[in-house]
Amino acid sequence: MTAPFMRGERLPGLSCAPVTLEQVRAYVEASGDDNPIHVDELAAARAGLHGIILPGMLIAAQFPRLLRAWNTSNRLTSLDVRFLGPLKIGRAFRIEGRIVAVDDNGSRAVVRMTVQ
Amino acid sequence: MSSAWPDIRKLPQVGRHEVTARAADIAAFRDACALPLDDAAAGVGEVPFTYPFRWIGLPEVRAALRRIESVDGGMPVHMGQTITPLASVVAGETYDLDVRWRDHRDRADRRVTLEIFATAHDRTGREIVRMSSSILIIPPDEAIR
Repeated sequence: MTAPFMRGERLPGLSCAPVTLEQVRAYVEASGDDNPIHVDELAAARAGLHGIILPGMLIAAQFPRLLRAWNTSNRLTSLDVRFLGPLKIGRAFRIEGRIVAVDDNGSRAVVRMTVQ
Repeated sequence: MSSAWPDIRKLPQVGRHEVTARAADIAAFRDACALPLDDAAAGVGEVPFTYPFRWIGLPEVRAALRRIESVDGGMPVHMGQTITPLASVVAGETYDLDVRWRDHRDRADRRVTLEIFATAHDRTGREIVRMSSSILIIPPDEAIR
């Protein structure tokens, strides 16, 4: 049996290598997320962005990795993501997590993850 | 976007689509996300947690969504996403995807936030996953030409 979750507990962070344009194109192909701001400089500029940005869901796909790295028995049951700002292509990023709520017996928790 | 799941049967329908969780598509999605198999398993079974989002990106679904977006002719920007699996997505299985929508118009800045709600049911009628997307539509004349 795993230890109960504790409110306020911080998860070990997860460092992610820079994502290349080639990787983004592969993700666009595999996911169908065909918004041109993820692959086209001009389209990104038209949207007021200063460069191509990563698809948010490509980043969100990494969240289960953080839970898994923390404890292999963890299981994600629901995901609620807000894309607060663009993450430019070619930049490394890091995902941090902290438990912000726990149920009465400590077996289920809400983890707030942030990407920087 | 509200985290409460609305009664989507009352919302306009984008369409109903038959979607199949093909093993090759799942593998391609996992590879494109750079997810090792064991990490992908932190989601549901061997299917990456966010894989069902792919169904919203299928050409027939995107085409239907573009018809809504084209009302404004604006540029969509993905602002938020929820995914709640209710049962495992099984490789090789086909599901019935029901996609609905509603929008919120801000008269002050003329921008529209489109909310898309999608549910997938298996052949027995069991609900497999619920997803919602929040998409900001930037008016055409606000996009930088």
